Order: sequence, then C-alpha cells, then structure tokens
Amino acid sequence: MRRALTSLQFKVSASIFLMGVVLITLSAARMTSRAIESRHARVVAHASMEGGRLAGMAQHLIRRQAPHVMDLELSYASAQQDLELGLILDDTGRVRLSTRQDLRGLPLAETPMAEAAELVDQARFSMEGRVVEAEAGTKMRAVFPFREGLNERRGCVLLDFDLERPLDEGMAAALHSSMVQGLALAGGCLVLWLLLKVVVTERVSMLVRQVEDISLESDPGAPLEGADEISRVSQAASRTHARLRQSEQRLRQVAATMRDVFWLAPAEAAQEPYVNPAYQSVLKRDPARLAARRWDWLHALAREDRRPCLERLRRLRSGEVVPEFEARVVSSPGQTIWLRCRGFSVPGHAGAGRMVGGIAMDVSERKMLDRRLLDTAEKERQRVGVDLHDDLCQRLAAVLMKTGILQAALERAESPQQALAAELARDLSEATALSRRFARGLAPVSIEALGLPAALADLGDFISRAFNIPCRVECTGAELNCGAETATHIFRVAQELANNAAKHGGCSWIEIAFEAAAHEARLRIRHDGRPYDPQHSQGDGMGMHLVRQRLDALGASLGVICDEESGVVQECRISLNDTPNTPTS
Amino acid sequence: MKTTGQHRLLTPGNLLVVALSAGMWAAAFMLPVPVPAQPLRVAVPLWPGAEPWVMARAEGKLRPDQIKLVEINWTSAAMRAVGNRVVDAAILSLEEALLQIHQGYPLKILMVTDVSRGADALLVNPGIESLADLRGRRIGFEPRTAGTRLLGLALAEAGLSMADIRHVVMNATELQDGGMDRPAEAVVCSEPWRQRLVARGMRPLYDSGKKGAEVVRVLVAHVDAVADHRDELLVLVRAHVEGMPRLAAAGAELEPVLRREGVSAEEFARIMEKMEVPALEQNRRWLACEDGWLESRLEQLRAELLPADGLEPARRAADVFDPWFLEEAR
Repeated sequence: MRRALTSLQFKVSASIFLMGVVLITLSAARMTSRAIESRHARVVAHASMEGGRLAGMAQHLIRRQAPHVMDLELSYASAQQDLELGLILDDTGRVRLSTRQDLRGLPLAETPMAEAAELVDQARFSMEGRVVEAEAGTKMRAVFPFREGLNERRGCVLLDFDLERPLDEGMAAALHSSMVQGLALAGGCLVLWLLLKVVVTERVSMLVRQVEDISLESDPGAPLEGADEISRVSQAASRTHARLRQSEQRLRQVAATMRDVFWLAPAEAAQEPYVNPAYQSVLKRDPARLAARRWDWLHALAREDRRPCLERLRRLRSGEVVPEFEARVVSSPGQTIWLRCRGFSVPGHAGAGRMVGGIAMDVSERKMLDRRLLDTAEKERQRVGVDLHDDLCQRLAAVLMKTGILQAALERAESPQQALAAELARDLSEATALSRRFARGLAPVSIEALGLPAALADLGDFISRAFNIPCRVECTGAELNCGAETATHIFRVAQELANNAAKHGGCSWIEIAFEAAAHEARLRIRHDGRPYDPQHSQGDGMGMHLVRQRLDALGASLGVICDEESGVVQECRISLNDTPNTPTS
Repeated sequence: MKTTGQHRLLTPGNLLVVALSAGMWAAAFMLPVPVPAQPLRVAVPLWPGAEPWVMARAEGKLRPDQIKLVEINWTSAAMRAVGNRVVDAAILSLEEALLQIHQGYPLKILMVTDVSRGADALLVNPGIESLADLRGRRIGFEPRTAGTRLLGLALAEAGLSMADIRHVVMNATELQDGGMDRPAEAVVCSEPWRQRLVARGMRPLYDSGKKGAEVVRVLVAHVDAVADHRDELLVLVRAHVEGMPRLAAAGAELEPVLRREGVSAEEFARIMEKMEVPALEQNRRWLACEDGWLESRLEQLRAELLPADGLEPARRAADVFDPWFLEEAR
C-alpha cells in the first residue's frame, strides 16, 4: 500500500486530480458568481424593459380610453414566469388594473406591494422609472410612472419580479457545469492512472527486474522494446550488461591463462572470493573450498609468513598502499615456493568496504637463478682473489725481498742511490700490503674452512685497521647449519654494511653481531653514525644493489632501527630452512 | 536472466478502471442539465368556475412556486396561450378546446369544471325585443369561442344566420369599461359580465339555459404539461373538487371571490344557480367515457363546428380525455 502511494503513477495522477479539483472549484466559484451577476442583470434589464413598455402602453391606452386592452396586456405579462404581481395605479394610488382581479379597486396599502408607496411617490415626482432590489436576492421591483390622460394626473406601473428563481437557476447551471467537469476530470485521471500504470509503472518494474538480474555470469536478456525513455534505459542497460560481460569474459580468459595467481576478495564476507586456475597449480589447494572457507589459502603459506600476510591484507582493506612482499608456499615437506605478492584495493560504493585483490608471482626460479648468479660471481671473485694472493702478492713479496737486499748492498757501498732504494722498498711494501688486502677482500678467510665467525672476526680487524674505527665482532648461538654459499652471502652483507658505516656513516665505533639459531640467523650491524636505510635508497651504487640481491636470494629481511641509546641498528633475519630451489611448472 | 515479456493489458483491474472511466465520462455527457423548476401556469378567466382556485390561492393552498394563476379575461388569448404553452392549462369551453385540438395543438381535457345552463347569454340594448330584431344589428362576440356558437343557436332560432348580422369582434370587458361608444348593440358574454351589463341596462335575450345551448367548460392542459406537472395538476383538480361546493354554499370567506367577480353575494348565488357542478364520480365517468354524455357532446360539437377543410380531424374522445386525475382525486 505504501509503495502504491509513493509511486509515480499515484503521485502524478493524484497531483493532476487535485490540481483539477482546485481549478474546477475556482471555476465553479467564478461561474457561479458570473451566473448570479448575469442573471441579476438580466432580471433588471427585463424588469426595466417590461416596466417601461407597460407604462408606455398604459399611458397610450388609458388616454384612448381602452383600459380593457391594458388588462389583456397585463394578462400576457402575468404569464411570464418571473413576474409575481403587477399593479397599475391611478393618480390616487388605487389599483386600476392588476394581474390579480381581486386587487382591483384596492388602495396600494391593502395590496401585497404596500411597502412600495414611497417608491411610487418618488417615481411620480421625478417621472423617472426605477428598478430596485426590494428584497436582497429575492425580489426585484420595477416602478414606472406614466401620465393618465392629457392632464397632470400620474399613474404608475408597479411590477414585482422573482429574483430567487433566476439566481438559483444560474447557480444550478454553474453547479451542473462543475459536476460535468468534475466527472470528466475523474474519468480522465482514472485513464491517466491506468496509462501511467501500463506505460510507466509496469515497464519500470520490468526495467528494475532487468537491472537486478544483471550478472556477469549470464548473458543479457531482451530489453524493452520501443523508443521512449524507459525503453532506451532498458536498451542501454542491456548494452552495458553485454559490454560488462564481454569485459568479464576477457578478464577471465586473461586470468585463466596467467601463470601467476590472480585473486579478488569482495568486501562482504558472504561473497566468495575469486581466484584464477593458477591458484590451484601454485598453492596446490582446491578453489572450491574458498566458498565455504574464505581463509583456506592461509594454510598453503609457511607458518611464519601467515601473520605478515594477514597484516598486509588488513592494511590493503584500510586503503593503505602496501609495497610488494614475498611469501612462501609450502606445498610439500621440503618443497617451498616463493611468491612475490602485489596487492591493490578498490574503494566500495557509498561507504561499503573495500574490495582487495592482487597477483602472486612464483619467483622461486628467479630466486634460484639470482643465487646461482651470485654464487658464480662470488666464486669468480674468490678465484681472482686467490690468484691475486698466490701470484701477484707472492711476486711482490719476492721483489720486496730483492729490494731489501739491494738496499742493504747500497748502504754498505754508501751509494748515493741508497735513498732511492729505501723509497723503492717502502713503495713495494705498500703495494704488497695493498695487494694482500685486495686479495683478502676478494677472497676472505675461507668460510668453508674456518666458518663464518672467523670470517666476521677477520672483517672486524680489517675495518679497524683500514678505517681506524674500532669494530667489535660478536658471534653467539648454535653452530651455523647452512651451506657455504649462504654463509658467504651473510658475510658479504656484513662486509658491505660495515664498510658503508665506516665510509659514509661518520661513526666512531662499529659493532658486528651474529647470532645463529636452528632455523634463523640474525646479523646486526650497529654504529653511532648517521642512519642508513638501504631499502629506500635508490641509485646507491652496486654495493647496496648486491646487498639487496643477496638478501633477496637469502630470503632475508633487513630492518633499520635508529634511537639515541642504541644508535643505528641494521638487522638482517635469515631463514636457514628454505631456499628457492624448486621452480614452478 | 528473466526475459522482459509483454505486460498484460486486459486484466480485470484494468478493465474495471476503463469501465469506471467510461462510466464517468458517460455520466459527464449525460448528466441532465438542470431544468429550473417552473410552476404550473393556469390561465383563469373571470368566471365563477375558476374561483375555487382563486379561493385556494387566497387561503394559501396553492403554493406560488407550485401553481401560478394567470388571469386572462380574453378567451381567444387564453386559447392561444395554452396551445402555445405560454400557460400550461386553461379553462376553455368544450367548443374552444375542440377547435384548438383540431388546429393541432396538443391538448388534453382533464375535467369538466362546470356546465353553464344560463350563465352565458346574449345581451341586447333596449329596443331589441326579439331575436328577429337582430337582423342587421351590430353584435359583439369573440370568434371561435362558445359565445360564437351561442350566438349561432340564437340566430338559428329566429331563422337567421351569422351572415344576417354585423359582426363586431370584441370582448365583454370593452363594453363593461364603457370607454368606447358602445360599438355593439348586442353582445355575447358570460357571468359576471352578464350581471354588470344587465346593471347598465342591457337585457338577456338568449342564454345557455336553452336546451342544447348549454356550455360545458373543461380544464385543458398541454400534453407536455401533463407529463411535467402531474402532481400540480392533481392539486389543481382536487382544489376545484373541494372548492366548488363551498362556492355554492357561499359564506364570509367568499369576500375575495366577490371582489374579484365584482358582484354581491346574492348576485353570486344567483350565478351559481345557473351552473351545474358535476360530482367527482360523474365527472370521472364522463372523462372515462363510461357515461357517454360528454363523449356524445364532443361528437356533436365536432359535427357542428369542424368544417371539412382537409385538416386532420380532431381525435376521438378517448384520445383527448384524460380521467387519471379525477381517478386519483377520488
């Protein structure tokens, strides 16, 4: 009922009906007023004309001594429906002739027109006829004097007209006209209501059903036919539906052929998230389970990565921009897949929640290749360093020895060339030390032979000597249980971070701490210099690029903490269990 | 997706709305235009047979919005007025009614108001002693009225015809006022003019008291008025039926009547003696043709008055008499 009362169909029809009623009412009032005025004027005119005519005839006929003819005239006049009573008075005020024979001979005072005596006197005095409203809205009175005979005697015609009946007639006509208009209006409004129902309401209902049935899973149905506005809206909705469906199909085709996992999570928890076929091949889980268990995909992730993943998801939901991150999928014991995840969020309509989505690329193979590249580069460096140490450094040491012998000989001979020989010896000594440093840099203490702690200790010594900055190394925890390549990468990261701190940090001390546990190792570089955040720095040279590569290859994270008490702390967390070994098919 | 099928037009609800709308429009077109209520207009002459209505009006029994008495003293004027429905009804003689019906005026005879047996007369000036003396005289009468037939009967009794006299078309009022130089030496008139003219020296030579000369007066009404004013006509008939016996009985309430007639109570009583007022039942039997007197009278007048002029003859008595009102008044 309420819906019917608020519909356009009802509102338009009711509005037009009410407007029509108002107009008809105003028109009726106006027509009634005009009818009353016109009929009033008509009665006045008729009374005036009749009074004048009878007065003239009375004067003429009485002068010709034919009052009986005047009697006939009065008889005809009395047949008029509005004439109630007519009197013809003589000069003495007695009724000479009358539309009622029983009033003949009576004085005016004994007739029903007794109250007109004053009017008669005035008319006879002025010899001017008048028409007055004797009783408001009821009776019109005409008083017309005439001359009796050829002398100064003055008779008077006195006529009473009914005013009420003509006015009632006018009002009845106006009322009739209003009723006709009202009935026509009511009928017209009913037709309008029906027309609106057929042309607008029902078709709008069909349009609403069409829009509600729009689904990307189904083809658009037949729109409303026609060229009016509603049909055009329906046809436009159908075309839009077709375009959306085509777009959806293209998207699904693209998503179906992607090797990467593409997912969309609607804002409403009741709605099923969308995943492409790669979801099953990568995460090794059935997408159908997501309908009942929205978070089923979490079980595919490594336990350590679940919370960070959920946190990033929460941030996406809140509209934050979340940078790419990596997560591990444990498809089977020993089989780990690295995924590089990228997410986005789409704001909802009218305060609704955000829809989030993303792409998860399998980067396991790339990680493995990157690591192999790093390993190959490291091996080549070591080979160069070993060659440098075994060949160049030894040759330089031999030359230095021979220079020492030559210097001693020249000193014994008190040759003027002994200073040059001494300088030569010094230069050779420096070159030798430099060569050894380069060789050690390229091929540090054998990590495979002596272990990472020894290499880090050697690094600390080198930093202290080379940059004259105290560098303390502390290694704790269990025996490092990982391959030489991993240890080398850890060492290289420590080497680069410590060198950066020494070269660019402006610090007065450096601390290198390494702690190894069963599944995770931590490398911490602490100093009191300027903070340095390699994650957000761009174009800082090949050193930091290689650090990022090594961290990426290790699957490690790097965090930077700055506070006055601890100074600048750069901490790397390295997982010792998973390596990007198995590429996805 | 659901297909958008065609909406149904011919549902019961839609048909009902269409029917309602059509009904309203039809009502709008057919709504009767208000016809202002008009009173029944009855032409009444100065004649005792009309006085019951004058008396009823004076007593307030005839509402002005219901029945309006139009006093017309000229018989010819009354005949034309009722024929053209200037008035709805009138008192005419049977001769006058027959002539108007023969002319094509749609009239009905509703009742016999009275039968004049001496109230209509041929009055002559002093010096005219017999009907034979009327030869070559100026005689005043209203053509096509009961007076014309009365004059004809009087002349026929003396072996004269209408061609043997000089016709003066006039009304008795013209003589009564005395404004003219007595254009006629004799005049046909009815009461109370008879009383007034006798008072001025004229004397009756022939009257409707003669056998075959009686004048039957009837209440005639236009056919449309019979349909439109049935209730008012019934009131009129009842007023006449109730009032005539009171007139015959005379009394103080007759003062307006006497003033209108212009006669004294005694004179009025004498006038009433010359009039036969039929009882209601007798009246009904005449109109219903159960008693053939009125019917035979009508046929007689038809034979006397209506020439073979090719006009459609007046209808039979059963066609012009309407006894319904007398039956309802019982």
